[in-house]
Amino acid sequence: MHPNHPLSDVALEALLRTLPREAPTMGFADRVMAQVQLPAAVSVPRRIPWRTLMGLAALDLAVAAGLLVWFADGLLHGIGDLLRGGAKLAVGIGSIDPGATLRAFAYDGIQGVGAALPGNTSLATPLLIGAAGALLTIASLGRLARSASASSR
Amino acid sequence: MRADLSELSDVDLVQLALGGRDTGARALIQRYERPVFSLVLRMVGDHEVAEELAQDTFVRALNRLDTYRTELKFSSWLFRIANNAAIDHLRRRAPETVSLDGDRGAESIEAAAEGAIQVAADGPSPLEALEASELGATIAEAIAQLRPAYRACVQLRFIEDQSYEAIAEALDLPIGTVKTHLHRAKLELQALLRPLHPGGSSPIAAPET
Repeated sequence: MHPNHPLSDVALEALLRTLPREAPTMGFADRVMAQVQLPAAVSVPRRIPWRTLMGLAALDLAVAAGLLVWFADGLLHGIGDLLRGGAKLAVGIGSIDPGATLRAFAYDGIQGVGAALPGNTSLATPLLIGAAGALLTIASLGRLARSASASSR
Repeated sequence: MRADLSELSDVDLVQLALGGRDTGARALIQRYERPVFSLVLRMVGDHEVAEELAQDTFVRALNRLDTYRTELKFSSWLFRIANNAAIDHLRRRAPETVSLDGDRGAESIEAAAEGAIQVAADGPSPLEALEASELGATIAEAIAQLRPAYRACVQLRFIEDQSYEAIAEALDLPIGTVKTHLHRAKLELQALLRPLHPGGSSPIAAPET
């Protein structure tokens, strides 16, 4: 019977290194991910402090209000014209020619409103900016509420 | 432009996952599913259980990714979780240690011999066994006879090619202990695999790697 000698260190290590890595079955990653609760994706409001958001909202609303006043000047005139037309109509109802009074009312009103809306988009600008300002205000208030509840915990 | 996730470091992928990006978590799973699964399989020796434990390892790791500290290699952190999961499983399981010498509880030599594992003792000659495809299985069987700590060290050192420091981190052991474990593991493996290597005049040719 041959005496059995051990493998040399080098031979043993070389043999061990030939062992393959085993793989789990298909769909392993999906099964893991189904049980994993990753943190919620970081959103913009979480990164921007509420004070910054509030400042942006105030600035935005101020710009929107300025633009609105600027463009609404003509609109106010138009409304004034409508009112004046209405007054004329009221007076004209008792007059000999109510049709002419009605025409004058419609003419004044349409002319006034039309003058207030040069291209319509001009008025839309302050309205859009104002809407963005309102959203920023809501977002900043939300951030403020969250940070307040977090600091109270 | 979208960066190739395989080029990102582990820490970058961790950051992505912490930012709520599934792609980061999936890339980490893809990168480590084989090493983790192989480690736990080596520890518990059962594919089904190993799959469960590997799954638990990733779920646990990804669900508490915010506790990972970059001072530790991500792989070491993950291997530590996997190793602990495997050790816990082995502790819970009824003792099933098998001795190469047969049943330790046997009352007679014959009864003990009946339960003894034959490492390539019968059938093909040792040289044929070396050439045969079951060589890997024979070595794996020999590793399975080692105690769990040795198994983990052998797996991480020789299959995962980890440094002593990384193994020490992963198994939460001093480096000296890791070296001792590896030394003793090799001695045990040499004894277990001795039937494959009769004569000893010509050492088994190191397989090409």
